[in-house]
Amino acid sequence: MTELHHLTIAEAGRLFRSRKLSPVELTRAYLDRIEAIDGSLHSYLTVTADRALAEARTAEAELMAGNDRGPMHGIPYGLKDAYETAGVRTTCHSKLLENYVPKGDATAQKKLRAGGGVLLGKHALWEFTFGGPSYDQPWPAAINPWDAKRALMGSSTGSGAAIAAGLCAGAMGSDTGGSIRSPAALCGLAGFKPTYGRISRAGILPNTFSFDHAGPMAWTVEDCALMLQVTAGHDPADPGSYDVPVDDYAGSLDQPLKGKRIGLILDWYDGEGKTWPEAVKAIDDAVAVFKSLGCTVEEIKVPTMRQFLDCKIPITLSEIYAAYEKDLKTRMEDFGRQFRYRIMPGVMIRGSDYVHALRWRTALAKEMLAHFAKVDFMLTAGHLGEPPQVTPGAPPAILNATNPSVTTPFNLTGQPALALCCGYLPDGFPIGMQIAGKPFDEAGVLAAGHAFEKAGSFKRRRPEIAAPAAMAAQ
Amino acid sequence: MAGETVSREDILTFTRMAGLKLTEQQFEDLVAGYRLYEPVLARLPRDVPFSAEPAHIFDPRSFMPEGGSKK
Repeated sequence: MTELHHLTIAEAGRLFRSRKLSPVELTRAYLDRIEAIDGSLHSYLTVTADRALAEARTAEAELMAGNDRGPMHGIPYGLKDAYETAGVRTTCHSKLLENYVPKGDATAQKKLRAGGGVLLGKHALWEFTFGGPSYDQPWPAAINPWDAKRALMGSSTGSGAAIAAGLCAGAMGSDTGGSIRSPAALCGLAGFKPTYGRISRAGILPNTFSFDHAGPMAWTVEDCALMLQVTAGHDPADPGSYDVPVDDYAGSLDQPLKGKRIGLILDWYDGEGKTWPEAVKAIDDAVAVFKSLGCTVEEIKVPTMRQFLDCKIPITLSEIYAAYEKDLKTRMEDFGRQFRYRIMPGVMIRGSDYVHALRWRTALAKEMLAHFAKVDFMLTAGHLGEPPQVTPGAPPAILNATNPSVTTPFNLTGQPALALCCGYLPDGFPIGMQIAGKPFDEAGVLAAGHAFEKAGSFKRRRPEIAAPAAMAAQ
Repeated sequence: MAGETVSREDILTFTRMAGLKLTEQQFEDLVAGYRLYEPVLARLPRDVPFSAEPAHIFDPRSFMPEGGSKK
């Protein structure tokens, strides 16, 4: 049998309902493992052990009594520490919020709680989901369990590390330019950014109001579907939330792919952008899998990553600068240097720059989404090659935030985009790809990802985790 | 400030206008960071058609007490 801490959400749920496993047993397994190895990964900023055990006991009693609250009932999960949690410190990985204890829950957390989920704790991230990794904050930066010297990228770093290492069954992240999908790709996971407005952003500390998305991260696409099922839906507390019916995501996973048309965005990773040759081959192999499932695949030409990033930068700088302006004026020193470096140029953006960029976004989205007249999905890389090197214990170089990203375009278009593992480098490091779909076709994107995972064209692996003492010696 | 090289003095003026009080190191970081973004701003198209309005058109229904729908 799979070790408890490596069970998927779907597997654990089945074992709960057949009474072969209890939520308390599973929660204890995760808490023990966090205690044993998270000292080497720093994926958690706060562990809510007592609360988790109490929630697990409640879930166990309810499930035994036949009161089933759905797919997250009794499942231990984590939250990126940008999600507000009533009575639990919410720091956004910043000294600025070191002692901030919200009175209420973010809407997504309210839904997970109502669904009987078990909150294990709050995950590390890039400061305010933007500036990282930070080495001058009260908590260390999360480390990639696959390779401590390779950056996790941002910003849902702790969530990616925790899931890969078996320190929670799933997590909720946020994604403004790839912050769910990049760490998912670099940790060999599934990470899903649904359509803008599909999951409420209420109670999640902002990065860029126009591009912020909430979404699930988990070991499998199926688990992302289960988490989305619980967290999706209209929320009046979020002005960007859309009142669009929530589909049966888990029930739609096995819909046939025969006849579906896939547009391959090759240029982003083997043209304008470059990734590892092994990643190009892995995506070629994925194309072959989709063809074997009855799909047609054709290359499509879309706007460049450079265009999307050039469009995003003035919008992000303007919005995030405005969001944190008061604190920048009064508590500049409490922000990390990486965050300051990235946000301060926001002071130089003119109002007309911002409006021009917003209007360009509309034009770019129109050009991109026009392809859906001929295709059902888009397929491209999940990450562009070697992430920056990190020397544990030493501050990294300030990241150049103007390098084009393969994930960012889908934040501007707002369409759903799924990152999932599609292979490994010769040294065992994971390779990710992305499947993007039509707005609000989460069910279709998840079904395509699930079909790929089920096809089993390669064997999934978990990272080998070094004990904290061994990591410290590196 | 698109399309032109902004001087350090200009940047200092902007920070003062914004009410930012920066240490020497912070100011150097701002200048270095802005130099990366300056070409981005220069590339920003300023002639997109009027039909391309900003994506977040104000929808007053979202702010109704009962929580309006967006469809």
